[in-house]
Amino acid sequence: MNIKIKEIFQTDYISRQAGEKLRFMILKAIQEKKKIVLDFKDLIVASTSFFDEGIAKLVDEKVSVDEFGNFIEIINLNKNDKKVLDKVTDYRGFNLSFKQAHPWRLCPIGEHWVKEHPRSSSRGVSTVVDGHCRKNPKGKDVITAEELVEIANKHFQQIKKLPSTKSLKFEDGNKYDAVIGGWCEYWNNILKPKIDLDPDLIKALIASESGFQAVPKGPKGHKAIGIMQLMPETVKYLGRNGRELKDHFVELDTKDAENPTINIAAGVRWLFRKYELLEYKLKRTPTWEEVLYDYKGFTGSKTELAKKSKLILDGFLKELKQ
Amino acid sequence: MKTFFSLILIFTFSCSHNSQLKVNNLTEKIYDVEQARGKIFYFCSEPEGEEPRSYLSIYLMTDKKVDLFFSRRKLGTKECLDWVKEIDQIYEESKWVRLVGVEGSNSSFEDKDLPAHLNQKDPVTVNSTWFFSRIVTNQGCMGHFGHECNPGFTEKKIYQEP
Repeated sequence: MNIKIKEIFQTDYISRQAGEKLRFMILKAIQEKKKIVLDFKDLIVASTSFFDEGIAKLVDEKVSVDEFGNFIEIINLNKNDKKVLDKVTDYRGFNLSFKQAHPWRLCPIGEHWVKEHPRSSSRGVSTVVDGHCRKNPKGKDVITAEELVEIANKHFQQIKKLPSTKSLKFEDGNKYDAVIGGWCEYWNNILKPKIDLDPDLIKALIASESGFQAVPKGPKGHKAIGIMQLMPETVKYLGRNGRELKDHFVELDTKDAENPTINIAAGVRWLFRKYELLEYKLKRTPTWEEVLYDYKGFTGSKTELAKKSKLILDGFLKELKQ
Repeated sequence: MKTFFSLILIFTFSCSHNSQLKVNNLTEKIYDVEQARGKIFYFCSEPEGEEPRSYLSIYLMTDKKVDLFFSRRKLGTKECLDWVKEIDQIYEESKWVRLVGVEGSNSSFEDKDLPAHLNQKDPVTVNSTWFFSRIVTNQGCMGHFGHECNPGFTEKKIYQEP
């Protein structure tokens, strides 16, 4: 059953009474084990009361987040409303955000994708196990290298916001546009920054880091890997054992990081972490350009070489924006 | 730290006949130059930041100008020293040297790192700067990413320039 919030509630979708009405509808669906879709199309609710009464208070009705996830699907929710909903549900301990997987994900939150792999039995018979979801012990959001590739293959042909089509005079300058646009959209959706990360910034960063050369890990002594020149430490930090992130981990190894699709996904995720760290350091919201400069080590740098390097990056940014 | 980095300084006196540059390619994006074993300095720039990091800097000096090739990104201390060591291995016994840089800039600046390595107080003007791509000698090759030394690689393939 599809419940179109705008039609059902018409003008009153901000009051506690309206929220209460919604809560009873959800409770009824769960009791009758019927799946319903809450469609927020063409609507900006912007009401903590509505979301609190309608959804967050389900916790008082002894509804678990799992039950909610099994029967209720929320679609077309405005980005700001999602933030409001996250806040009120989080406040009441009804941690809905952790149970709403991104629509591109192959597995629900709390599980990760394991690709098709061979398995040998004790009798020595070898079989092939299909790709499947496996539970994460701590129920956190974990995305694996295999799932990153699956998502890119399946969804990146229809990305709405791509970087500029300017190649910056590189032979492969436009080769990764869909991947750049795709991962910016994905991580913007997941991590909801105050200002979305613009794909042009990633394109300029790649131009400056590797000139779009999908380079493997260099010889002995050369540490950085791939198109965004990720450091092996960064690859480790992004995983569950990295002790750097609290959630939304990316599990990959240094070999995976040589693949441009995986490298860009991980690089963009790392940039969001840099954003958090810089916000903490500056005690204000940084601009994404500042985050880029921090990624490149320009923050606080006074050397001519850092200035020269920054000029090159700025030049790429300027060209993309012209 | 400064003394430490000074230890890795390499300086070669050039004769008048072999300091002549042979420019193989010079475009907006690529600078490919070689000379018989000439005046080259390479070292890790003065480290800075909470976690000290440096650029690998290679200076190519002639009587007329100084070209600087530097790493695209800042390198950790050990990584930078490893790069210097790699260059040592192909440069020390070499008869000629070829340097290739990309994404150049011709705006000159007064270099603060080089005078100390030249044992002089006067500032040194660097005339052009390039991202280091590779250094090749008759002893071998060392590239920024590594793949620049593979057979058939050329910087021209990276760019759309004619």
